[in-house]
Amino acid sequence: MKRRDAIKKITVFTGGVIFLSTGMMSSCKSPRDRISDEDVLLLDEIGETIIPQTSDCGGARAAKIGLYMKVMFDECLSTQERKVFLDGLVKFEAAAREKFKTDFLDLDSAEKKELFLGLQGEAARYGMNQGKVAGSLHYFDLFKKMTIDGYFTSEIGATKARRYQAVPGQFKGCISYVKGDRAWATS
Amino acid sequence: MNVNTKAVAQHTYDAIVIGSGITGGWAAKELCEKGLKTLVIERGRMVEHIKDYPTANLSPWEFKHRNILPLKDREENPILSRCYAYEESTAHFFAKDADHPYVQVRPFDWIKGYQVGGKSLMWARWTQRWSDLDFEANAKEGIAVDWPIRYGDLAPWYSYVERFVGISGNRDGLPQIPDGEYLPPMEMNCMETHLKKSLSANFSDRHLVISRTANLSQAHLGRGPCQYRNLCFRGCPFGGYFSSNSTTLPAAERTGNLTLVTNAVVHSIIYDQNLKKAKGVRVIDALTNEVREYFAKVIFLNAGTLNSTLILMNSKSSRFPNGMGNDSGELGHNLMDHNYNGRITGEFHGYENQYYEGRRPTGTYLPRFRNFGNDKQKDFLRGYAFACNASRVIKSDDGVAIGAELKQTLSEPGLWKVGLVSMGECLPLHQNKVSLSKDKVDKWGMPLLEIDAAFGANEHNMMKDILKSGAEMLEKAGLVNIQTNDTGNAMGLGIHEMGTARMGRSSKTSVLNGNNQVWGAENVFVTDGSCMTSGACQNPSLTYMALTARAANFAVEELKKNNL
Repeated sequence: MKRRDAIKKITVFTGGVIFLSTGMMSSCKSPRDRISDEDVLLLDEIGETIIPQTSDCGGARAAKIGLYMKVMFDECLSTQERKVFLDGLVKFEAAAREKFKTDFLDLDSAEKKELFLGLQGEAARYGMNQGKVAGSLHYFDLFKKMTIDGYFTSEIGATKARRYQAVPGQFKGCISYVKGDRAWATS
Repeated sequence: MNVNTKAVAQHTYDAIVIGSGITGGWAAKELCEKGLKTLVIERGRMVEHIKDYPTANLSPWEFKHRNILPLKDREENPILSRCYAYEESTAHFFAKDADHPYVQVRPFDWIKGYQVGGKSLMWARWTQRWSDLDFEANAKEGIAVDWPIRYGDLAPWYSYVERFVGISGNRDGLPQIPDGEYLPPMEMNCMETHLKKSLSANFSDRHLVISRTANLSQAHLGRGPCQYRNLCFRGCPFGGYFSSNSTTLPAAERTGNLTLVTNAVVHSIIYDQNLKKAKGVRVIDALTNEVREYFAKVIFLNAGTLNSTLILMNSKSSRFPNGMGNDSGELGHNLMDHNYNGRITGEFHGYENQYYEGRRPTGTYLPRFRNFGNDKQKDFLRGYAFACNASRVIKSDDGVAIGAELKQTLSEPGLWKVGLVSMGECLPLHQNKVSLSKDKVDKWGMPLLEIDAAFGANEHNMMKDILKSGAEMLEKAGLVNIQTNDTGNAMGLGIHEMGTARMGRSSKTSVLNGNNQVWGAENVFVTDGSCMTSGACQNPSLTYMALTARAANFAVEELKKNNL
């Protein structure tokens, strides 16, 4: 454990992923080899920050986004995405501590938002720098994409945030649209 | 094998149909309705209409993986995973890669549905007629061999099957896709109407139409109407689209003449040297590997293009040492597909106050305009059609990182987007072929099929024009951010495998005659995609169905005359 913490600190300090290369990771047993129940709560909070509850409908937590991400992590993500996801959780928590000297879960919503905006910028720069590398993916983009995909395919996201008709019964090629009308949940 | 007289009698029918997919279902219906005791042999499991559609009424959140296939499934099925219709909601209708191996001499994606109904459960349902532009092409250009039939031979049978299937569409008066018998057409949305007008204004030869589609825009013969859910690939509890399961097999069953056996892999068709015709079918029980034989006066081979040819190749006798009907040496040759690799997309700024309601289970269709009418291309023969779809995409989250604003943005429709997908004709090339492996067999001991095919120079040259013309049309219609892409997919992924047992005018150059009879075994009829002499650019299933109904009618007339 101590060794893992040391590696994490070095990683944060240098801001790189070099020390998390497979050789070092395989020599120490990381508890981040799966998504734990605690992680599910953390992911709920990450998701809720990306898509929050609003006056009209629930957000990602209400859509059980943490459980969704665990299922997708366990059974659908590629090996490479799983690594980005797990390493990302470590980096994410470290980023919160570095910026606010406290755990992410203890931040208030303004701080969470500030942290996420910073990570979004970091992800955008990473994307530009890594753009030519096939499959390069920043963990924040992965968290965000999974939150969006999971939320809008959830019952709340599909039926409350967007519009869902299980059995439309008819097709109208042209109806009027007023700005603010919700999009159809499925095509 | 010791088959006693009683067992022979128990296993004897008037007709045998091999396969229960889109053409097998039609053969079964026609033969049963004409009074023949008919056995349908299906290699896969039973799929009963409605009862066996486990996902048909599920909403996205009711799927464990939200309709995304688990990684393990994708890794185990690399070929199948390239198929657009293979999803968590439909996976149970596709035959898995590992269970049904084949040899790819050159890459070829073979997508299979092995169950009662076959791929008629998951087909795309687009049903434009072919025309003499297609049936005359080989003869005019000196390609392959001439079709032994013309549009006039098939026209009444197109009408016959359309009236039963139930096709929604418009009578557009375009000679390259002759009008048929249609239920009311589905509507275009405002972007599609815009594109249609722009094409008419800018190009005298480009006519965008609503695709003729086997979805019921009104109730029809006890089925439907379509509920505009666009979940057809899962099987429709409303019977809103045509499949063997929903339509032809129930019709066959109503006659009392149908017997259906499942889990029976056809090994070969048995040729009787004395009678000089086929006398039955040898099957391997898929579950027990037990070998059985069934007997009949007439046999319809509708196992699907590649499996029908595999069965003919495996039906060896002293009369047919190289496979049944293969006097010409053409059995297995001239494999075709359609080239769907051309993709063109664009965005449109406008019509922000227009949307649509309901999920239309079809798109719009731009019929062929190349090498037709006054158009003459120097770089390629034949032509292509476009499948065209316009919809409002969800707003982009570019620049919106997180929070309530992101949620709001992603809850609204954004720009209209138009997507064109090419449907390019593929020439029947002798070197695109299949054969039986000499040393590899499947778990039933059947030789594996070796597939050796690829798009050729004509298809590649056509693709250049596809991307150019598609982009030009979108540009003229005022679309922006136009992107063109050749996906480079291998043959097969169009899932329009055709040819390998072609129809023709002579046993020296073809496998089947003008009535789909096997040369030299005239009581065997092959009416699935393997019979195609050329490929046209229209979706082929409607033509298979018309050929099947025509051949079944002919077979019964010949039986009455004691000619079979």
